[in-house]
Amino acid sequence: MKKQHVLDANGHRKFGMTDCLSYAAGDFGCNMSFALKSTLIIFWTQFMRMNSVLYALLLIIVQVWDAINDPLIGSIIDADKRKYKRNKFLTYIWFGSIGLIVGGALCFIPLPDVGKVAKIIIFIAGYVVWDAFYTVANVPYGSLLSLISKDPADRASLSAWRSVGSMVGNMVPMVILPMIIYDANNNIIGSRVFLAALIMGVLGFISFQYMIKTTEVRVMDDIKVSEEGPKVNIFKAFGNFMKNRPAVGATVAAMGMFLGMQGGTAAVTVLFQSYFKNASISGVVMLFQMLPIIIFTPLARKLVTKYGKKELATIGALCSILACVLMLVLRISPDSKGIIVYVLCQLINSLGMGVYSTVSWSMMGDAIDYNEWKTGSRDEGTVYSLHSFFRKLAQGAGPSLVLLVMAALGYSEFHAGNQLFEVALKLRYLVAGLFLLSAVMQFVGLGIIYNLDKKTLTKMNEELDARKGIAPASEEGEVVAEPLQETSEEVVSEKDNQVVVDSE
Amino acid sequence: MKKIIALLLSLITLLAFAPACSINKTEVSVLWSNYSAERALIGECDEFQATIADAFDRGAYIERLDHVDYDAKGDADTQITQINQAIDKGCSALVINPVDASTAKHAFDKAKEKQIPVLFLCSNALVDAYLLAPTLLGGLDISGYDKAIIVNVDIDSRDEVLAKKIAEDVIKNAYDSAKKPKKVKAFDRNGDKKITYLPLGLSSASVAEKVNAILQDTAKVNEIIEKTLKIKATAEIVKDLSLECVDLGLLLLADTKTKIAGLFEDWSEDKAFPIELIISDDDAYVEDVLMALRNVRKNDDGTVNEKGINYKELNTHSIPFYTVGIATNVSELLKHERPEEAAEGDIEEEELAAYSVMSTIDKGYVTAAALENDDEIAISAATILRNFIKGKDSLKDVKAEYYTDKDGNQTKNYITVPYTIYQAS
Repeated sequence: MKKQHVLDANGHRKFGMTDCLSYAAGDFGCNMSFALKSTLIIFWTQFMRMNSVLYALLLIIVQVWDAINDPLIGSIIDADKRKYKRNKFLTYIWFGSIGLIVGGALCFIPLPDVGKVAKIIIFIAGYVVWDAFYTVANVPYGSLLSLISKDPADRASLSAWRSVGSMVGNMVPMVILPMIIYDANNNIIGSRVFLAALIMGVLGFISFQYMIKTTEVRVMDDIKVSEEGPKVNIFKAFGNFMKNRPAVGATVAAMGMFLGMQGGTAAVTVLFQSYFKNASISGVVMLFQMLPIIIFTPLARKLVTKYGKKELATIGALCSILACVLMLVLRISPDSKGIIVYVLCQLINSLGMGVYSTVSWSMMGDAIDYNEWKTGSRDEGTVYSLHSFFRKLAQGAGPSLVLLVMAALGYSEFHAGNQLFEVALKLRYLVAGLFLLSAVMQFVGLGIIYNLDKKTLTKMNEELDARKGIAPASEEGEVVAEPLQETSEEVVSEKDNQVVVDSE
Repeated sequence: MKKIIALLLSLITLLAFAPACSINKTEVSVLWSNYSAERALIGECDEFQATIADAFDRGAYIERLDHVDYDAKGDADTQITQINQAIDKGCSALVINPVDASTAKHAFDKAKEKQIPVLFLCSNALVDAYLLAPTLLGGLDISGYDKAIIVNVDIDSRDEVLAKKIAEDVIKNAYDSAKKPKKVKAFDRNGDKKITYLPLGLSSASVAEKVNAILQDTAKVNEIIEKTLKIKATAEIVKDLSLECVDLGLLLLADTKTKIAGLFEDWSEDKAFPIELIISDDDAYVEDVLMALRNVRKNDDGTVNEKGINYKELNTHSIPFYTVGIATNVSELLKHERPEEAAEGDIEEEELAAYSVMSTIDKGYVTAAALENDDEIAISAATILRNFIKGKDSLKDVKAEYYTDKDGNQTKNYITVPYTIYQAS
């Protein structure tokens, strides 16, 4: 017997767990192809034997395309005024999900013996096609949140469950993939990566279909996906942005994370391949690293209320710096004992990162409020856009720059998973250095530049409320997925779950 | 909150100065007969030493041994000078890959004079003989000095290890090909219970003998099936199966291509397949064998030999090929695989230098190789040195054994590491 759904006043299925799981499935589906991105460098340099410097340059080119691709496809979707049977966004997601069955695999076609020019073409074409399908699925997926419910609490739940879907979608491949794509000599097996990409594409497709089938569209408003807003003077906007210390501080911290930690993914892989000679456990180690984040998140609200976001984030950054300095000075030998020391350092580092990741989004929200407080104008669109621009810059440049540094330190694609020990030792310090760079940039950004400490934040909120004629709040606001303001619509337009708030 | 921040900052500052206060490490002098890191990058030095040196770097790092490398460039006088320099600098131990017997003796004498450990990492057969058979050749007897050690691969294990691997594969193949005849090609292609093998090198016949001995021993076959292969079969599956040598006379390296081409020249499908297995005792054969198998249908002038076997039929994947060693450069083979790129000079020098027998195993052209466990040799060497310096038993924490001769006599100055098998995953 079919399950009877409880209906709301408008005849829609009442919002509940089905909506949350459904929405989570969407991000799971997105991550079934996105999660493989971290394997690109190792696949293309070690298995496909593309020159590291050449690959770094190609990576920058495709990242530039990535930045163009998002607003381009966003505009196409917005310009599409056709009537769809169910919903325009669901249709585009469906179309994107079809392409993603093979889209991810197109980036991992195992043809190491073809010529150099052929490899360049295969890489660029594969990446562009994957990127296009990914954007077609991901961009409207983000906007779909606004159509599922208007209620701020419901939207907050959807955001939280989206994170769950993203985490599961990341964690599963992160742990399992290293166990199957490396051989006993720690060399990457290209054909297995290709197969894994195909399987993940299918899993992603199934996940998307579940989402599409179970999504209940309750809001009939015309939502735009592109970040188009009123025309602005970019130089003036940039100038205003640079005067917004909280925004600059939060951006510096975010850039640090992308340049250091995410940029260093390839270096970490080579660390496990050639230094510890145990590539298959790298995923399990990374899983351990996520434990402090998972443990800390439920405690975040209480701690933020007691100590303040800036204060907590500063402590977090210092914890990370401490962990990274320990990673540099402690003896991490290339054996099982060394792995234990490395994991312990990473646990402390992750604790610091956990603090940052929990408060980072609400800090941008506070930065918007700061703009209003100081200038009288919120300018969410431009502030978020510039924040997003710098994040993308770091996200795009990070892996390329790190690869160039690796090449300068002696990394040779022809030694694959068995780099010379001298090189492996240098990369061990590079990994520690990259994490330290992340932590230092977070400390500088949040501890020094970001100037909204607990006292100042309280004062700012009181004054803003007074201007609006609102009674002062008894406690500080939320730290995760803040409820939307009545005059704004939330638009999700980026692959990395960036939330851009456009004012009406 | 400010106190916590201040405390963390202080801790970080203290830790940042920690390396300056680190304990002094022990310095060891490592004397290579023909290796340096710079020359290794351009392929100018001995492959074995390059591999061992990299593994020794790792082992020395684990054991906290600082080491200074010397490169004799193959010259005995240079090495003797370097030995003197190392001793004069006050090194804690000598590690030497001797150029010849004279440098080995000099290092031994100097080390004994200074009462410091001396460890021989040997690759030269004559030097091995000098050190290991002192009474036979009137050579160097290191048994009188308990801080002298030879660390080397256990050469006696080579044929055993390779034979065991071939026997395991023959047994598994007999099982798999019987179970899935369409999917798995049998080693015994001719179905006559004789696996005709091509012997390359003097030891190949010895390996084949050992394989046959295993296949004829029901208990050993059952043990392999149960413990190693874990398949549901009994020794019956290899009943009467044995390796038989193809009659080519003594096959010298230079004759390899010609003789293999000759084997297939008049072959047709109604005749028995000439080679069903290849056993080589030296990876130097690999490139010529693979090139020969690819070219069997071609004459020397490049025209097609219509009588020859169809190239697509003679896929080297279908002829199991076992060898000893993986380091030989097979760059000509790589050029053969990518002729257009090779003609245009588009294959990078680094890739050509890195293309070795190991690559052919990874690609499946060669089935498996018995090789020296260079990592273990070098890491054992570093650990043994550390044990000596700390006054501990030399074999503490070492995955190796004292050499035992045929009469069962154990020599504590000679530590051996058995061969291992390298195969594609």
